[in-house]
Amino acid sequence: MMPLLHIDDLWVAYNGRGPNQPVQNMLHGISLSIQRGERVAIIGESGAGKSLLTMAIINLLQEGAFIRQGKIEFEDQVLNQLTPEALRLIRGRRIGMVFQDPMTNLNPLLTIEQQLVQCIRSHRRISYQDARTIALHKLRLVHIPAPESRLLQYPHQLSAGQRQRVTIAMALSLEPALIIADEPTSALDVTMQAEIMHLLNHLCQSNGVALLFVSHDLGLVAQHTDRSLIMYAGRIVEDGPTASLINDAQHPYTQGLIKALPQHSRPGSRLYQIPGQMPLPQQVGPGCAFAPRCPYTTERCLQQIPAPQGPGGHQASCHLLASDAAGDSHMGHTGGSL
Amino acid sequence: MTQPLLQLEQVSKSFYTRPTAPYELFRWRRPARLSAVEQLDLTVYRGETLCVVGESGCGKSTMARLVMGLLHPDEGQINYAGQRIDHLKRHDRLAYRRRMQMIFQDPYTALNPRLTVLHCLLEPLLYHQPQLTEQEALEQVFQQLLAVGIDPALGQRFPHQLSSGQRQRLNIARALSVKPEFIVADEPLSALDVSIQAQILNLLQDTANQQNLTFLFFTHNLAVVEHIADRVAVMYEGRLCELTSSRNLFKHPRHPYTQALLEAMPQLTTSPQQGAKLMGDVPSRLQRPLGCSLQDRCPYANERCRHQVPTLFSHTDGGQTACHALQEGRIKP
Amino acid sequence: MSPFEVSSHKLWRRYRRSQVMAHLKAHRAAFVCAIVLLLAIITALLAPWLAPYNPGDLSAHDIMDAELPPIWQAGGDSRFWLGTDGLGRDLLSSLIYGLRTSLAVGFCAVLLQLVLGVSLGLAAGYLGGWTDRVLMRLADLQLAFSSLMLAILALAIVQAAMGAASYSIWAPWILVLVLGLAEWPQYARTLRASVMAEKQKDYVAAAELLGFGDWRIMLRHILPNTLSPLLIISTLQVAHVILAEAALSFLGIGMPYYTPSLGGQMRDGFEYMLSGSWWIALLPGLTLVLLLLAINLLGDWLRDTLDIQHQDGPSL
Repeated sequence: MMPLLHIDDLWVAYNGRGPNQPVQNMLHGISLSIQRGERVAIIGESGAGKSLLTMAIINLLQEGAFIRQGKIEFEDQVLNQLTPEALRLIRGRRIGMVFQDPMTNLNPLLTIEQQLVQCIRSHRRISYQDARTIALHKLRLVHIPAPESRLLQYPHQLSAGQRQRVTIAMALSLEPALIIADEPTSALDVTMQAEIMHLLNHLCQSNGVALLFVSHDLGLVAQHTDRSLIMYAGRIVEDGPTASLINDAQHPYTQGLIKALPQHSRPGSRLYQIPGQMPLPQQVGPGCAFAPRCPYTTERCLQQIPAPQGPGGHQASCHLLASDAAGDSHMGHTGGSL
Repeated sequence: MTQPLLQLEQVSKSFYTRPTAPYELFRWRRPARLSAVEQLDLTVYRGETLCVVGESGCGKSTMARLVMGLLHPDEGQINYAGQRIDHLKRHDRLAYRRRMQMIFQDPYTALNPRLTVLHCLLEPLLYHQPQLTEQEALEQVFQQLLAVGIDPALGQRFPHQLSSGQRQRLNIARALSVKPEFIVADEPLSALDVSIQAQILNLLQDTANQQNLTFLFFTHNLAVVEHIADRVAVMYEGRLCELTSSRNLFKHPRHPYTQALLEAMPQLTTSPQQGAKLMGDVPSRLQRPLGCSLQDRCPYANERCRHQVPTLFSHTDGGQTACHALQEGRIKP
Repeated sequence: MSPFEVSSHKLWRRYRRSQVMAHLKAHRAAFVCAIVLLLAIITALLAPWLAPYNPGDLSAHDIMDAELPPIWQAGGDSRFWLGTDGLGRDLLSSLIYGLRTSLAVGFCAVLLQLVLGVSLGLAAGYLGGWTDRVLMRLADLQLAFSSLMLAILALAIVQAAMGAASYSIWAPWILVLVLGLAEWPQYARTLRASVMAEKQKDYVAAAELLGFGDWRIMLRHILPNTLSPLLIISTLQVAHVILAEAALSFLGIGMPYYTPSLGGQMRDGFEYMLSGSWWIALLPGLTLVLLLLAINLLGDWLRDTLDIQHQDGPSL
């Protein structure tokens, strides 16, 4: 089956800001594909390139950034070769967006009704009344109480949780095939976070919409996604089914991330910590980007970029996983500790 | 129990709203009062780590700033080591300034962008100990940098040239540079990346142990609380709902809100959690209902909850909750 | 090396490593403007050596040379490249000395505005309360008057009180004083706004918690972080003051007629416009336009550049 979204060897680079600044590669050969109805998480620290990747997919890169190489295929079309007009039709209609701050999607000067109806009618030739009916239906879907009266309100009259529900309703209103949710709950409270995640997840599943979920929080995505990708310094270092990734992490970075969570150590004891910090794109050496922080670094890690290793569905880019003796001892050493 | 270091007695603080958009200027409405904390009673004992948990906007930051004297309470009083400090003038407060220090949420805005790492630490040192020679001061600064894990070779860098983890380390070093006994940390981890959070948490714990510091730690992350807290205070909409030891809180959460918080805590399991226990939204802070602030979301709310604000009462194990349903036995403790 | 001393050598290194030159080269218009301004300043500083004649020396010119056109015009005299004015003075020399007056008045008045505005704005923004209210109402009052009107009024009174002879000696200083006093609210308001914004930031709270005094927090922590808006208004204010000085001199209440200033020359030349000697008024006017354009464009460039440098690095 053709995947819904297929990214092949994507390189995104940044023009240096000042004069005499060299072009910097920010994303290094990203490849991924999302099937119809699949829920995929992209996990990484800030600066790992998660948001840049989502922006590259919908071609909304900020000034200075550009796609250097690679192909983004979505429903038989190559997104990075389309005209801006054709892209605009796909954005919104086939790909919905939910951002961290709901106010990015909402215009503070328009009522909820105006925004939703405008959004629907800009993509579909239907009457105002029909569009309003659809809007109302979508608001019910996202469990907004008293949707009739909410339609007449302005964004600032809603609470943060309600606003995020409205943006989800908006993203769903055109029945897209893919929803990209960029940290949709980080601006929300803890108790609200679980509810919104639940809602987003449920709606995507029941409507057969694929979900690309961007987050820095492994725990949050654990229950809500089928597959997870771990990004580090502009590269995908591990890609596998979420369950297998969390229970049997292959890449030392993923293992470190999981081990460092406070839930995994006894109260009061020292936490496991990954030393150092993620390098900036321009600081990455010739080898594996994680090598300077990795406890298992060898000479080879510093010299050569590792290729994805591992059986079919679950792959990690690490030299230690290559089929030699070192790989086995490494697995025995750390794999079981979780 | 050891002696109390900090006591808040019936502390309240409210703010008045301001128009935030041009069209609000033309609304015929008086500025609304937004109460950030209400009648807060809390005691921090010497040497303990007390965590205050709550969601964003529940009044944690206001409370931190009240304790530090950056804000003044409208009502109530704050005692430090037996002395009342909330009404002190700036000059009289100096004696307490160096004994208590604060670590801020955003490590970047908490550093002066025009001061290098070295100057950031040299300044407080030389200001309070002018008799130090340059050499002695520099040596002390190097030690402080090493203690928080910053390479002294970064001394000439400016804050924007540091990573967020290094910035937070520098903030910690600066707070420790005046040798305080009490540290207030306002969400010190939430602006940091996952792999850096563990580093900073370890650093805070190590320094607390080495220097026998008292910690008042504000956070929304329950996993962190479980890891470091001796006692926990749970806050909702400016009031305390539960105050108990960390072990009891995670074993037997009593208050409906605490229970909901614990359930919403992201778990690293792939089995789906049950849906959220609390439905509905946090009430608007401007139209706070009469009675318990949780009434609209709480499955146990009755008439009394809608009219009367619950106050803290003690359980047999020393834990305290503010809930009518618990007090009346409508919920089994 | 001690972190306290910054030797001149180090300053130079820091400057070379900084991106000023690279940024200037990338924006050609700003680069040209910087060169024009630099040339104007050098010319003004070296006026006594560069100018062929001293326009202040009454014995040096001859009324017979009056109204000679520039040398590329028919009837031009090779002694006077840009021609002469109605009194037979060399126009090139007058321009060079006029530039000197304009720039000196411009920079000195802005310096005065800066000192006044910064100290009052800093006090108002940081201390708040009554200090703020009183100072800002004063500023509002000042802004309610047109600064040019105020200057005209003040200069007319001073001129009448002092008498023409002693006024002409003190004229540049009085102009500096009047123009400096008239426009401090611009600085005070901008500075107050940025001080209040900085005051909200956590590093100021941290400085307070470390027990630092008000003076230290104001001067060492807040002031350095409000420099970029100050630098930007300063460039625009220099242009504004130069223009105001020219306008006052044009109206005849600025510089005395025998002290060359660009505005005064334009006024003098105006009388000869109709008799065909256009250069006497036009050349000082063009110089003024060129100078103000350069300063304004430089100010614009400065604002754009400082804005960009405020954000750090590409965000992901």
